Amino acid sequence: MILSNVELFAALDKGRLVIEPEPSPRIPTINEPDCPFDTHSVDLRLGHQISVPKPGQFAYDLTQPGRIADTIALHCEKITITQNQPYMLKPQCFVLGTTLERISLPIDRARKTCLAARIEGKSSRARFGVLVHFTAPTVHPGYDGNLTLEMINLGPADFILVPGMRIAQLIVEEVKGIPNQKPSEFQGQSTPPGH
Amino acid sequence: MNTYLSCDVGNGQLGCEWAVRGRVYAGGEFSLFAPSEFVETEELPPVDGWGSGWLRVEVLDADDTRVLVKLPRPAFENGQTITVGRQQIRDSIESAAV
Repeated sequence: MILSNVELFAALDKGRLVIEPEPSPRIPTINEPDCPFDTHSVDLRLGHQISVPKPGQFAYDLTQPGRIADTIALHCEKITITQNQPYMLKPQCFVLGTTLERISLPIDRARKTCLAARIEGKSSRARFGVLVHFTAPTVHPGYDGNLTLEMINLGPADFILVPGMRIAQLIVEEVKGIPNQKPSEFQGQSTPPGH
Repeated sequence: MNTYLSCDVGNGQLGCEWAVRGRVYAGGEFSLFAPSEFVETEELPPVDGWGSGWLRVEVLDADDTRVLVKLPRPAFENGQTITVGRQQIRDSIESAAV
């Protein structure tokens, strides 16, 4: 079951859902009208690190032993973006980014349920032909870390990536039962390749 | 009673919507694509330009000079709620035309 914004607030207050820094305000006001919470989602912002895959004469071979993160990091250029130095995502180009916010979905084994989440794009960004994730929206129970964004510009024009811009939205769901924990290779990641 | 926000109206990407832009109280701009049923145009905008119009919004709060409104869709710049000046708001499209 998807959590409404009221249930999102409750989950944040109880520590079942951790978003750091916590999006605010929860309720728009005249002085602070810009509210990141929608009816059943919360907007996430783009972080400062971009990872640009390098073209070259190599292939990713996932049958070889070793951490996937190292393989990705070996063949990418790491860029720090700022308000003054944003990144121009060219048409047909693919980069990895990360959310500014760290997401944590702690499993409390004393309870009978836990939370999972999905990261989704925003229609206002999709209008430009920009995908902010593809095929990998799931945030599993027990996850703790920033979320990696797999961004590609399918539109005809450059798209400027500025840190702090609203780039995605998080939808949180209740999971029935407590799962056996399977640690993710990307647990605790804070960089686009998953370190 | 419907509440309308003064705005500029241009052609949308799709036939069922209008491009809308306006100013917030703090001085910045907002823009969005709004479904046609939320927009009243005073005159049809040129194909590649802007005309004057009114956007139907929901009033959430107000003080002497400002009004917090919910837009029909999120703005490109930020979220779905913005603060505008009272003078930008009309309570019905009929009174707006006076």
